[in-house]
Amino acid sequence: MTLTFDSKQAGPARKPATTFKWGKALAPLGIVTASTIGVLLSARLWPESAAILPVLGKWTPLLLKGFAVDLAILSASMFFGTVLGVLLGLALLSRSAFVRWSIVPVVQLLRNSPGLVFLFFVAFALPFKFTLFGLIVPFPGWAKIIFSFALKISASVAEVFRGAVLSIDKGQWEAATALGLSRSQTFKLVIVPQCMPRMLPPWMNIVAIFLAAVPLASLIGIYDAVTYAGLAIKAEQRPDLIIPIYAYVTVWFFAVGYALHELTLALEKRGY
Amino acid sequence: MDEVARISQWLADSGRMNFTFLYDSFDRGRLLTGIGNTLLLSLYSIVLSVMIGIAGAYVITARIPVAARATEMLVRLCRNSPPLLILYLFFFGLAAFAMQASGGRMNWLLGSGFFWATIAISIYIGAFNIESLRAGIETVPPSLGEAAAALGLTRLKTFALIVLPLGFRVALPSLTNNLVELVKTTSYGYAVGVAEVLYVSSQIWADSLNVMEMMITLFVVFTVLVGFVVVAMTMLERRLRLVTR
Repeated sequence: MTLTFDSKQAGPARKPATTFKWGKALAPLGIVTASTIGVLLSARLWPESAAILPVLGKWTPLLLKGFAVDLAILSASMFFGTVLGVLLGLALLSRSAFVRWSIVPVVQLLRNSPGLVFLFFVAFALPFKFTLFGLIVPFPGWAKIIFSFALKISASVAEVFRGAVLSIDKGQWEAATALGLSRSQTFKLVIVPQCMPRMLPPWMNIVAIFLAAVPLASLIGIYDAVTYAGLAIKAEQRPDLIIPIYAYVTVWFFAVGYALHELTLALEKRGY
Repeated sequence: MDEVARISQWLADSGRMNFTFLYDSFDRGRLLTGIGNTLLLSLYSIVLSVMIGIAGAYVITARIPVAARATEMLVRLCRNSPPLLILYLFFFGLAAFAMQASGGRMNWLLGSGFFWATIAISIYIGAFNIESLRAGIETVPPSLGEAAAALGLTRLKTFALIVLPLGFRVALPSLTNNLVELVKTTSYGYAVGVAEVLYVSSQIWADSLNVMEMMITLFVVFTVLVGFVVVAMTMLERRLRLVTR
């Protein structure tokens, strides 16, 4: 018998040694950054050349601007989605059956509708501006996409939050009640602090999923990386550029998504 | 049917809900075509993506030298890239090459968004299927494979007759998830002009300005479709359940 049998029984307090290789997760990100800089340099060195690399370099600043728009939409919708998701999650855990059962269909509808259909719903079925207390508030495209993504994200976050709270040992609740804490105090001081590390890996998973969905913004007229890629192809009028330009943008998304994915796996392995 | 038409006409006249496809046969035809195309797209992609999943899982678990590494890379690439960009790469990029290579004789197929959407969605979801099936196959005890080898089965036969049937059962729940995702991804076909249900709905609301009604219809259509997939997969799961003592 080897020692592995004993070490398995050592209990949850033991943290397994992490052998996370930062290099493996961040390598694609590094390679992509380096090659983007290389492509930019090539455009500087041979500005008149018609080869693929310098032409790509010529369009890189514009494409990067679009990619920044994508990342900005993602972070804004993650922020609002998380806040709203925690609120929805609290509602799902409410003691009142009425609140619980009025929230469940909302969360299910948000989670199970196709992202593109929901985006179109927000983009076309909601008005472009509405009047609040006599004040005309515009509701432009970028706000709509953030709104729709935030709603979809909030449903996923709500489920994650609910799962994390339910995974906390019942004894914690009983101990908190024995100490005389109210329900809201128990949540704030005991339960949520313990949920945070458990929620982190699935939360990052949600970020990765929605990173892959953000290019949909181009379909409702946001000028993001994909829109700019299409415009660049139209401006160049060269069919041989179609694959390089789209692949170039895909690789950016891939590098960020891959790093997120690997980090999530590492956090899960550490036993969070 | 007449009653439905009369009631929907009354709803529209009174300015409440304008479900044009209930009383207008032209819109009904469009919508039904769209639903049919979504069904076909889902069906072809489901079959193709499960086939890709099985083939990829075999290549990875059999550790075929170069192909296993290549498949793993493909899985990583597909899992972390936006499906819209994958679709564009196929439809705008590869399609032109393929049409040139075939000398324009296959344009009816290679020029159609439907074909490339099927391919792109199948490969994108196929990558997820490979992961699910690989995980399922890894739960099969290796001693079973060894026993099959001892009985003289070839590697492919061991996989097809022993390992896959067992691993497939374990992978079924996560496969269901992937196929539900697939049905929802078919709406991306809109971006390359496939006349699927989202596309025809957008045409209908462009004509009749009944965005809200078409959106409700879309939600219903997709809920029913996803429901079909889930029910079918649950039935398959029940059918395949191993009888254990």
